[in-house]
Amino acid sequence: MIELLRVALRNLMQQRARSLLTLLGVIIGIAAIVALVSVGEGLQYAVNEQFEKMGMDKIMVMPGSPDSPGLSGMMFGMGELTDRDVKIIEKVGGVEMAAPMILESAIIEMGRETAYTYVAGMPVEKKIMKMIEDMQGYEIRAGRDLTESDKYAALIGYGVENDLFDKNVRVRDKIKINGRTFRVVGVMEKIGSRMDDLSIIIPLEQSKEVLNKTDYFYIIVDVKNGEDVSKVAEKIKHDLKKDRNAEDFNLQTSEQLKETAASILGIIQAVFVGIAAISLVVGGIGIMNTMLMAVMERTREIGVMKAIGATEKRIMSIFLVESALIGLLGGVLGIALGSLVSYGVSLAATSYTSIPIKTIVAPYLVVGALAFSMVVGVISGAYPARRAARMDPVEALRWE
Amino acid sequence: MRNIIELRGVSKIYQLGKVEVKALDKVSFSIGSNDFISIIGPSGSGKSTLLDVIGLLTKPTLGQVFVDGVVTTEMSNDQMAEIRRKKIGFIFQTFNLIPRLTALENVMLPMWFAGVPDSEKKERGQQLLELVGLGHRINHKPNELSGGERQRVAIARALTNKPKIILADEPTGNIDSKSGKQIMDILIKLYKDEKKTVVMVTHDNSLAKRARKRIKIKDGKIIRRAK
Ligand SMILES: Nc1ncnc2c1ncn2[C@@H]1O[C@H](COP(=O)(O)OP(=O)(O)OP(=O)(O)O)[C@@H](O)[C@H]1O
Ligand SMILES: [Mg+2]
Repeated sequence: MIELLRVALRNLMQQRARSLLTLLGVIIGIAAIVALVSVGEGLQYAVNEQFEKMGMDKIMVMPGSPDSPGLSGMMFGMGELTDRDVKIIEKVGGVEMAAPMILESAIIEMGRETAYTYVAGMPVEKKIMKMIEDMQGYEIRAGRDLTESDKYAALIGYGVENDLFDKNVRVRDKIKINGRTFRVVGVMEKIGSRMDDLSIIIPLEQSKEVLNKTDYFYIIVDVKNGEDVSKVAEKIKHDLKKDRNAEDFNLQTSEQLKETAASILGIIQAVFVGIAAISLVVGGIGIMNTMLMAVMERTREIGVMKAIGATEKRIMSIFLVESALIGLLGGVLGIALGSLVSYGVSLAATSYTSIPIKTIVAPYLVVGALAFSMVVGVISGAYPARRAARMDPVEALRWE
Repeated sequence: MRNIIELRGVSKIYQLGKVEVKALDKVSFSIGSNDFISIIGPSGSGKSTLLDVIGLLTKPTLGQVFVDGVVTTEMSNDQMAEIRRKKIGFIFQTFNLIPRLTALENVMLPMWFAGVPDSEKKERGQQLLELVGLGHRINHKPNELSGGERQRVAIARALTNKPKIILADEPTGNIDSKSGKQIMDILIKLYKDEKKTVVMVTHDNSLAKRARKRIKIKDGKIIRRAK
């Protein structure tokens, strides 16, 4: 077996350029699989973590019909969520609290500079602030949190502090939001998502004023401990529908959100792996092509080996080991390249998008990719090797 | 003298479209152990085909081939390969060495197929190369050797598994006459000293005469046997 490996390696080295090109085909296929699977898993992990933070006892109420969110809103006039709805929700049994949120982009001024960013209006009651902090995962780095007595006070994200203006924004600085002056009372720790870091949080009442809005972006409902979240959700839905006379709102428990996200991710993952698998099939065809060429070129040699007593099995194994070796080598290098790519993606994702993805190259993925690449090598080499083994020795020896 | 090779009514017919080519036409003869036979005849007369049949590289269309008293007609490819490996050594006009391998590695190749252990392979390979006068060339690749030297490597390779039969198809056809003499001397030594059975195809009458027996072949038929 060691002898076979040595012989195979030697034969591959003989046609270096061709072997390398064939190898490249496998490397790309395997690297694609490894990178896509690990990025997919990282995504899944990130999303799960997000839901972990959010907690499984939350219900989100958003404007728009549940059948075609967004579209019906545009066509029939979006059902707006207002204080009236918040009151109804709060009255439903099992609801701990309901926190409406406003989110809108606004013009921010500091000194002579002007910038656009997101402004979020949130209720400043202590327990609501606490819940939202837990969900979003933000912490105060400098200054303090908003309190119930705050009016024109703002909490700024890491990105607002550092990137929005030429000069860093500090605690106690004055900024103008849509023309109204707010005092910065606190700076948040970096969250890692671009959109969160570029947000400014202000008290709900003041946000209604400066953003000129009375309807909410969404309402977060916290369910009391021990209550059945989906039953509470049903009740909220029932009461809202009765009051509004229409189902022009959309309601999702964290469980449902998680499931939706998981199924979307699942589809993305499947498509990714499908594409990667196709590229590996192409790599396999490359191996087959190379091996067929090798068998043809070495026809005479095969004749000689048969004349001096090599069995069909031996001839077959010589070529099979060669193609398996291409597969295995491509697998090893492909895993290395794929891991590198997935690491790069995680770096890029963390700094450019709102989802910090930690990609994971799991051990099962490494083992699986290695096994898969070798199987591809063996399968693509099987036909050429059989052809070599079945060659007629006399014809092979007379081959010019 | 026991027959090591026996052909009974052997025909080899190639079908080329509608035309039948009789490469061998009802050939019968036997060769005793420890003999030296030369086969001569015009081009296309069936000499190589005869060697292929004797060497179990191909099966005859009709007739039977016995090697060492065993009939080979019903054998599988791998059974024939085993007989080639154990009892037959081939020498070709074009040497047919593997270009990537050194002289020593070429000689060791049949031992690999026979499952000989590593250390023994090396030792025997070296001995054989010394026997054919190439002890100083064992690490040369075929393209670093002269034609005569290459053929001597091929002879060493043919001898590795201690075959009883040496089949040589125009072994001097591609080399100069001086080297050809050397090759011829080695073959005669194998017959005389090592007690091998040598069957050699040649175009050269003077070389053919050095064999113990001559067979002349034309149109796939043996037309003369001479001592
Ligand atoms: N695979 C084949 N298909 C058809 N005809 C073949 C095949 N192999 C050999 N022949 C024919 O069989 C005949 C004998 O061929 P063979 O090679 O045995 O001749 P030879 O005596 O060795 O000739 P040379 O001296 O040129 O080597 C020739 O007529 C040749 O054309
Ligand atoms: Mg010939």
